[in-house]
Amino acid sequence: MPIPSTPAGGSAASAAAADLSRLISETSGPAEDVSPAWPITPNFPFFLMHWVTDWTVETAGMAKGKPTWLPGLVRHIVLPGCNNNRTLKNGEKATAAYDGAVMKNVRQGAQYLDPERHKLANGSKYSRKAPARSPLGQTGFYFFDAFSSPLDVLPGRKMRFRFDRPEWNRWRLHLVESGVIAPPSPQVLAETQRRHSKRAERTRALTSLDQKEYDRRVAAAAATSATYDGALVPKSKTRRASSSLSSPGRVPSPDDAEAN
Amino acid sequence: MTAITSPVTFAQTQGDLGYAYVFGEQEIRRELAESLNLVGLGLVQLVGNVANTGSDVIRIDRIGGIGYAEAMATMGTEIAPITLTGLTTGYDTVTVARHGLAKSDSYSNQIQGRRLEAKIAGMRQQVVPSWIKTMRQKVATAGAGITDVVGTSGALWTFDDELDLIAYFNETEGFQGDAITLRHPEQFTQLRESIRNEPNFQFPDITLALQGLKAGGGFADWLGLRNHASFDVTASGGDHQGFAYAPGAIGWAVGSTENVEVENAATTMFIGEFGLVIETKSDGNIATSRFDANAWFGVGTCDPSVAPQVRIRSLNT
Repeated sequence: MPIPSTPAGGSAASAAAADLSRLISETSGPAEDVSPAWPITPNFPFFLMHWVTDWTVETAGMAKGKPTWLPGLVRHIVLPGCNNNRTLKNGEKATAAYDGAVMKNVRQGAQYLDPERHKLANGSKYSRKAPARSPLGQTGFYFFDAFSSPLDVLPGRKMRFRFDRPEWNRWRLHLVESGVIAPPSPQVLAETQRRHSKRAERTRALTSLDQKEYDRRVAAAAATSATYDGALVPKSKTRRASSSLSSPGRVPSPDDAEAN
Repeated sequence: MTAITSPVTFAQTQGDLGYAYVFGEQEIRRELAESLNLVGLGLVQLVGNVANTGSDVIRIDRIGGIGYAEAMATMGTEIAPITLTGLTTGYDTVTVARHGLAKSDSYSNQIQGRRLEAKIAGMRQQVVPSWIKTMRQKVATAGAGITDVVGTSGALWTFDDELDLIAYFNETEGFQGDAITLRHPEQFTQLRESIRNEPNFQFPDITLALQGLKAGGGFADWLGLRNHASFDVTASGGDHQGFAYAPGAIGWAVGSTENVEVENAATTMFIGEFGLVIETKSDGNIATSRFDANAWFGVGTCDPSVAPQVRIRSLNT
């Protein structure tokens, strides 16, 4: 069963069908003993989702390093017993493990990305998995995002990953430009801009610094604030996505009162 | 027989009369493991028990729009009618899941083994700490799903971010003044490094106070926040996803095991308040014993309208 549809007024993207059922069934019992397995504790599959108020400015991977507003994407980890994800009852469909949790998040303004539909530029899914075996013998799969690649495991150290931030940023930009994620609300951007503007003001109050350090910090804070003010706001090139933020409608003018 | 010649040396006698090594006279040392107990510290609140309810979901309802949430209307005239007003209601849910842990050892290990901690009886005693670790992982995963966020993706946490975090709570209507943070230890390192460059903290007494921001299961209170650190804090998109919340924002529910019928009740441990039951059984045919621990509990975040909550996002270095 796909993710439940977005309530009226929701975005097209959040109503996208997504199905982790195959992944769930693979983790619900002892996994096949595949070798070689990664020396890491198995974890759970995840969706990526976007809260409509979560936008951030990034430069890595952007054309000419131009600061650009990008949507924040976080994981919805399908972990039973956590945030309404459930242990499956006998005979229950795998999607029952998470559909209630997804429904709740969608109601609160989350947009879900379907691993089958919203793929990377090279056609691969955003989530991947590898056979895993913990040092204590627990076996299963380790789920990770397509932008992370494992580093060499050093003796006595835990497994670590390198994260390809430029590629991650380019994909997030693509999601907006292709209409999967709606462009940000000007109000959301203004709140973040205001926060950075206040930081610049706070920095100007640091009068106990010597002049040279004071000038350096004030210039840096002002530059950061200006970056947020001037960052590129991506636009959808397909007009497919629409914001799930609701508008109070037309603001009445004094003339309306007089007309009554 | 070994012939020992004079002068008799340790090198000659050790082979028959000595040891390659002896064990130190102390208890077995435990390898380092995080021991932060969110339940024992009261950082998550128990919201219910699904036992005998016919459900695996606890619903916690809420009400608003009355009392302090609504002022009386000021009437325009002496006979103006009062407009009826209503109230708001809502609910949060916590879903209980099943968890398991099992270990076994041989009769030979129980007979000849030297350390209790490495036998089934000793390992069984460690089930409750494993339960606590599982709970902590769930709380960390639940917190990563909080909607609002402070901090910049791909950037280190700064003192300015810390001020934004405090402002988030103080500028939330109804905030009672108590907030808890659970962050990855690296996020505290980032904060400390940022504070180092903060001119207002360049005084010995303040610097000493800041030493309280140290690892070890818990961090000191600072700027009105009760700070804690855990390696269970999750990462997403190259960023740590720590979080801060007012007490009550994260709750847990349990399925008490007191009704569970087991084969050997006399040797079974029921810890109903944790939804935990630990059974031990043996198989003489292959001379092994094993224990199976089952636990039913769940964790969930409540609506921000009840308890303020915000994610703490910074670069996963």
